[in-house]
Amino acid sequence: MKLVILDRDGVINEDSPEFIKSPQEWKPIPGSLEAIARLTQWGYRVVVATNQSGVARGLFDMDTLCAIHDRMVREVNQAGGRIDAIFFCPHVDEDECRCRKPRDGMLREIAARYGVALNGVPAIGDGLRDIEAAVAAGAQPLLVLTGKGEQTRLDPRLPAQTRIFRDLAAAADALTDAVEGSGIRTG
Amino acid sequence: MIVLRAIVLMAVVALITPPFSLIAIATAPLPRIVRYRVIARWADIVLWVLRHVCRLDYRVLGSGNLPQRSAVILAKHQSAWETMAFQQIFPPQAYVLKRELLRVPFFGWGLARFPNISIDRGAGKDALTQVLEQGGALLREGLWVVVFPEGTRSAPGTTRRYKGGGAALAAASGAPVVPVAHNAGEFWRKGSFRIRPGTVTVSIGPAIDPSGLTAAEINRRAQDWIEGEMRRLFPHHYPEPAR
Repeated sequence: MKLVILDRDGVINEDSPEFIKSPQEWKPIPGSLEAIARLTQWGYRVVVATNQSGVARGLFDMDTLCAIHDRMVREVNQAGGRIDAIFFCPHVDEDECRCRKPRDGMLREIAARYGVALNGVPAIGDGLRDIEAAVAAGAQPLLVLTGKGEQTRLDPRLPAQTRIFRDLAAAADALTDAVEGSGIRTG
Repeated sequence: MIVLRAIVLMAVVALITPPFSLIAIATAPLPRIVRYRVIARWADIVLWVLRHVCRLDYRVLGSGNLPQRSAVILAKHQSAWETMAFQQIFPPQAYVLKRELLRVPFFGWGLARFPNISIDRGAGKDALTQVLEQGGALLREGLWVVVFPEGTRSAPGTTRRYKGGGAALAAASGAPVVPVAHNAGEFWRKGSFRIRPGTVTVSIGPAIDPSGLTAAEINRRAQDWIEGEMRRLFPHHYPEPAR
């Protein structure tokens, strides 16, 4: 099985320092829906792993988060893609939970649920937290320059093995071109 | 601002409670349901202040789950808020409460005229007999009985042992159990003066039919639903610690 793990804010949709608190505030980054469709059509299971501390901060509740994700899933479907599962962490740093990125709890949960090892599984994000979580879980870190990506690229802590792409569309192009016989497949 | 709002709330409670308790005492000769209607206004006023001054509102999920007959409510207990809000959310109800509450000046005197099952916490098995006898009589009269199986208020994200008294009452009386989850403690913590503005979510679960079930099984099912619902609605209260 081919798996790809995506961060949400700043990768699939435009990020906001004020958080995405309602379905109306969820706006796809141009080309991201089509990129997910392409990954789907190339046989990837697309899984989202996203920090959503807005829940713990009381900015929105679970019903609202589910409504936001409904919109995301619907729009991806409309573009011909499919999101297989969404994993989220509702906590804040102070909770010291295992799921909040840069910890690798969510990615390990994905590995356990799908019964696969994450070695070589591409994990795409725009923040250092996403990249660090990917490295901690043994996945292959891909940085996109949308969202916080431009800042993250300049961060000296960025792991050396990080592959960098303009946006999700470019990353998806690389993954789908490279799939044939290249070893980015797992399981 | 939050402190100022809390002071207004305290002032209103301090102002209305003595006259209300006198009115409550004066209702003693009236039928139980009339006394209930009068005394429950106290909670309406306090909730009005909470909503409009402290900006603490609520929403209810699963109202369609309420059975058509009187039932035993087994609910999470996180704050004083739910003891008042339940009076607006559920049909006329009696509370299982510790006897010492009835000795609180004014508040307790009024509460004593409100339908209740007051138990002596030290009494052990006798306390259960009181719940079964008095609770059974109240349910037959058509009142609902509210039990907080964890016994006392707990902080968000924590669970105390679910005691079996409420489930035993359902098993003995045949009344269905309505499990209730909510997050009032997220806004109003036990022992805290500060009340954070926001919206409490109260979720009412499918009624549990006690026929053919032991009290322990009823208790387990109620706990499973409540604790599962708490984690579904409020996952941010239940972080799994990093190893």
